Amino acid sequence: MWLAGPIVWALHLAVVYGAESFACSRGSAAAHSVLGAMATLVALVMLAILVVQASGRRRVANGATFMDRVAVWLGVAGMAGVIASYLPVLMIPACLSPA
Amino acid sequence: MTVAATPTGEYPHPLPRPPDELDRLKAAWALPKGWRIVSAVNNTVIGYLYIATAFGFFVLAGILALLMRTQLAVPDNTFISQETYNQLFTMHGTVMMFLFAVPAVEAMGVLLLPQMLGARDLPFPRLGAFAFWVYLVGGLVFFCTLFVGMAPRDGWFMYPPLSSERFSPGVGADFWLLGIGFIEISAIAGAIEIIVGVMRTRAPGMTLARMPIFAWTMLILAGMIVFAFPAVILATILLELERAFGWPFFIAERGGDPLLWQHLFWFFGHPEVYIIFLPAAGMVSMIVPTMAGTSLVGHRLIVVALIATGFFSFGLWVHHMFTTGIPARSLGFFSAASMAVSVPSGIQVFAWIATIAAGRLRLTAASLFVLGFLTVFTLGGLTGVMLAMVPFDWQAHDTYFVVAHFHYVLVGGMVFPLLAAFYYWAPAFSEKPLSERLGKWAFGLIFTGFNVAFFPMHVTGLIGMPRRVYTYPAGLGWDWLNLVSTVGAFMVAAAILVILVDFVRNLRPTLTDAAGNIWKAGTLEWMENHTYGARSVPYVDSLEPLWAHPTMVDDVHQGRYYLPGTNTGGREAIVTSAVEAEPQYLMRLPGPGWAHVLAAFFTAAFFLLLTVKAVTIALACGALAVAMIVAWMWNSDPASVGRADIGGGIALPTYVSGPVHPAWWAMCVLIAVAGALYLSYVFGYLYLWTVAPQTWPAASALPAASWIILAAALLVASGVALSAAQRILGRSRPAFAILVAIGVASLAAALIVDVLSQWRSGLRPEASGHGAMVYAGAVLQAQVSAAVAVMAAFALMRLARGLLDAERRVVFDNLRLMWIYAVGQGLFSLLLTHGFPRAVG
Repeated sequence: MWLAGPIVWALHLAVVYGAESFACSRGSAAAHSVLGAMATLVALVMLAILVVQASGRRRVANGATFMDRVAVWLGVAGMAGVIASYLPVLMIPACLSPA
Repeated sequence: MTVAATPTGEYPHPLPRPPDELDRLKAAWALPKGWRIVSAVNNTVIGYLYIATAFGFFVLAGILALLMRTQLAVPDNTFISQETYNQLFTMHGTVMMFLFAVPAVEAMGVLLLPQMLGARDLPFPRLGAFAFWVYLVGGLVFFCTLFVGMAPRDGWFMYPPLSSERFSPGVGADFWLLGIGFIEISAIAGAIEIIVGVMRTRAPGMTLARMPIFAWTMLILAGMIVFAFPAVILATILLELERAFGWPFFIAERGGDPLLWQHLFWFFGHPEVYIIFLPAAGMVSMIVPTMAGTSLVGHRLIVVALIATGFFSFGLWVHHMFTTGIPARSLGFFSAASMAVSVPSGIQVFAWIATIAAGRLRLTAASLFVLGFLTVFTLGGLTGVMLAMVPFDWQAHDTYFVVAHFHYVLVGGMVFPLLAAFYYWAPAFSEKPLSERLGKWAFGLIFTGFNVAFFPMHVTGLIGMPRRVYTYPAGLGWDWLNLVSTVGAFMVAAAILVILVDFVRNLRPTLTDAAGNIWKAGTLEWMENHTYGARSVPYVDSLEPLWAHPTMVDDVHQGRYYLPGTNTGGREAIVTSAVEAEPQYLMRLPGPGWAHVLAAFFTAAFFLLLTVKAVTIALACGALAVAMIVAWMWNSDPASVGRADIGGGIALPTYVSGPVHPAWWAMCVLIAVAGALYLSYVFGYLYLWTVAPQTWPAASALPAASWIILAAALLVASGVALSAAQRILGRSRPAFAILVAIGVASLAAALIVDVLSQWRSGLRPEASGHGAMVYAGAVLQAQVSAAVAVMAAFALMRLARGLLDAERRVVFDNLRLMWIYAVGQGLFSLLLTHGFPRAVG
């Protein structure tokens, strides 16, 4: 669970990028925006739960306490990454050729 | 307080120690004499050889760069031909990235980690030595292709279709594909060693919170190798299959796509930059606190930043492909991620600056190289943010601006810290420190020369000069800029020459009489450094144990801490728990041997002979390599000799199995490698469907469902046989052997049924990208099935000799892990190659 923050970010990126490739090859651009929004919402909720849980955990052991704190910060970093990845969905139409 | 806060609050061992204890320890860890040193496996010996070899390749690749800069010094130059120039830039990039940068940082890990972690050695010394010998032999042969005109010439990223058989006939590209493929085996072997070493051989008390930043960076580096390198290994396999057998993975008119190569290559290639940078950042994080005389500011935040950087670096690969026509929104995803990664990198830079500000920096040669790193790397990072912006990248792509950017990042982010590390750590491993005077001269020359060479390239690129041109006409405004760059390149060469002179004059590697802790550093690598590491293994209760306990060096030397001698008469290491570093197991380590050296030579021969199409001899060498590996592994699972007292009232078992054993961890990492390779394949399979769905067969042309059910049933039967074999292990040898044989045969039969079903349906690998991908999946499944078969045969041989039973079962535990993975991958393959076309068809 310590690495959950960046793992959720990576899965979110894979879903939104993979979904666009899939949607564009099928000519269903609108589906991508909906899927992107849902994936982002799910990812942010998961990360929020992780951050709250890890920050509230109290342990005696030195290493585990340290890793809980690391997990909190990685969760926050993951949330920032998910939001950054989602911004293009809000700003750029799907399947738009750069040319 | 002098004694570290051990669980008992006292030294684990009283003084005086038995008179023969130290002699027995020395005898157990003695090095082979004379030329037999080749068979040594000690991390210090392998570390020295590794670093020397990597630096040698750095010098060789630098000479290639000088040849290129000489050619480009003036317009219309005829110093070297276009063909030679193509080979030079290909070899320069390839050697720097694959034969210098990654091996150099792994070498620093092999040399430093055991000392820094308070371990006697890394847990698999022969694996580390094997990795080095594979790298040395393969690297030398690969480099020598330059002298016989057989070197690759398609650039270090070998894009098809240029690198295809049609446009690059001959064996140059094959040398790259197979050569790099097996050099990466070396990198992965090293990564396994490092991951398990960092996680399981830390000194008691060295929790993850007290682990030095360098060890964190090496752990992250190794994790990144595990997940990044398989992508390029898959890419090289696919391109070699295309070149050798015409399977069209990258041929657009037959349902392939050259962009698939770019995706796979850069999924490796971009993390590669951070694979190189993160350990260098770790070195800086060790040097700065010592030179500033204060603890590192923001230790926890740096750990977070390092992990975040490692992860984010995997989400950037498409920023190398902004000009390939990918939809604009996708470009946005990767542009955002590219900018995001600068945040954790920036955190580290600010932490170093804050540490320097909080302390009082001594301006040694190492400090100067660190300051140079901060300057040069930050500039490279800033141009990286520029290139992360899609419109700018469209303008600057494939120009000298990009060349300038990545040299600022790579030289600034890796070479400067490495040179700082040489000057910093030399006293820990050499009779004399390196010369401060020569070091400062070298720094002045390389810092000035580097900026003279590469800063003008930003301008050269922005005014239009493309990279990889062997000459250019006069009058384009590029002339004087190129001349200045060439002058700078020779200044860099002069700096390297000064460093080499310093090495010759002052570097005297030693295992008995190092100059010692002249910088007053606080971490464990500055204790005594013998073949066995330090005399006893300390208890660690802080980030800088030598600062917290000034008498620790003497206490360790006198044998007051854990394991001051040898319990079993051989080489031993304390294995500790992954997070809290609590002692769990006394692992017996192997000594010098020849099998791993021969295995490395035969592995290299296998790949290189395949390149020149000497298939029969290559296969023989491959079989010999496997035989040598079996020979080396034969004695790697010694039986229990009871519990061993390591001091402080701690008695450790001398045999464990399952997740406590480091081999179980190593197998898990290896399976992660296999999984990453297969995931890359799944990506490629799905990717080709998105670009060429019209070449896929209709549902009616797919193999009948009965074939799939049969193959799946065989895989399940294989798993059932494994499960049954596990239950009767130690009770009935013949039944166990029969079940294992049935299981392996079922695994193989499932693969045969699958391939046969595809063949009978009319699908041919050379017909389309889809066909090629289906059969490539079978190749991957064959690989893991073959691994299971070899491991099963090994287990049965040990069973027959009475070396495998219900207690002594590490070999079976490892076989079981790989077997479960093989069954799982096989079932998923069936779902993918039979189910997916039906679902979308």
